Amino acid sequence: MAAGAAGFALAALPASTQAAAPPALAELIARVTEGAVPERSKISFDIPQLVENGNSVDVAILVESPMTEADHVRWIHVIAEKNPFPDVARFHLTPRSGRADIRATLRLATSQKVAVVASLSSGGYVMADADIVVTLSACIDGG
Amino acid sequence: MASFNARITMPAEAKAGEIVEIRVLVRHPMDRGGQVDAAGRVVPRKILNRLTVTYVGEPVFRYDMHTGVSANPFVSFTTRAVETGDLLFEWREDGGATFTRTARLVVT
Repeated sequence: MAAGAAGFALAALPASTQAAAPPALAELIARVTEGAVPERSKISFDIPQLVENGNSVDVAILVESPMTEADHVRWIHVIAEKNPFPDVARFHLTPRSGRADIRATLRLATSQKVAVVASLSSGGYVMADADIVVTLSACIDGG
Repeated sequence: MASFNARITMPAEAKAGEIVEIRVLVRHPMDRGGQVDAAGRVVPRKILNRLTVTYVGEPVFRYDMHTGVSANPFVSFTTRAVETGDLLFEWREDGGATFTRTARLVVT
């Protein structure tokens, strides 16, 4: 258990961007949307509610969009508020994507709320979030 | 890394206008930095930080990866089949190394 605790402390160290009080999810979202508040529509976020192993969590994100030159998803950003580095990943799409349909494998440090924010070509943003319980966190072991 | 192991799964052929799904799995530890290895040394951060995909020269997808992406990262995305040609996959690793793979899509 001592080794586990040491591992966690070390894992948290490189996050020099992390202030004493970690920024709240709303603040993390506002940072990627330049202050805009995203609508909660047109986006589905599929992630297991209970994760046994935070080292590899399957996520699927689908945004309803015609993906035309005039109306498409520019990017999708994933935020895990309690990860040492909360900005997890960003997927950049184009009208040639055809669909805004992404799957990926991510790490979750601990039980937390995970949010996905999509930037639309219209200038708007949409988001979805989910509360995830992680029983084995991604920070404990060396993998 | 001595060898770079990537598995790209996509159809070899598609009809013009069809949306094809492309699945990419890479073998990589995605060391997020700060872990202690078996010998007690602190492992520095070394992750693949970006995957860019072009289709006959046109950018069609980019995946910005941070330390929250799993080891052996998997990603799937879609692209519309427009013409016969190569999709070029390029990964960028911390430290500046790049790895490339190509996959051909025949459009009928």
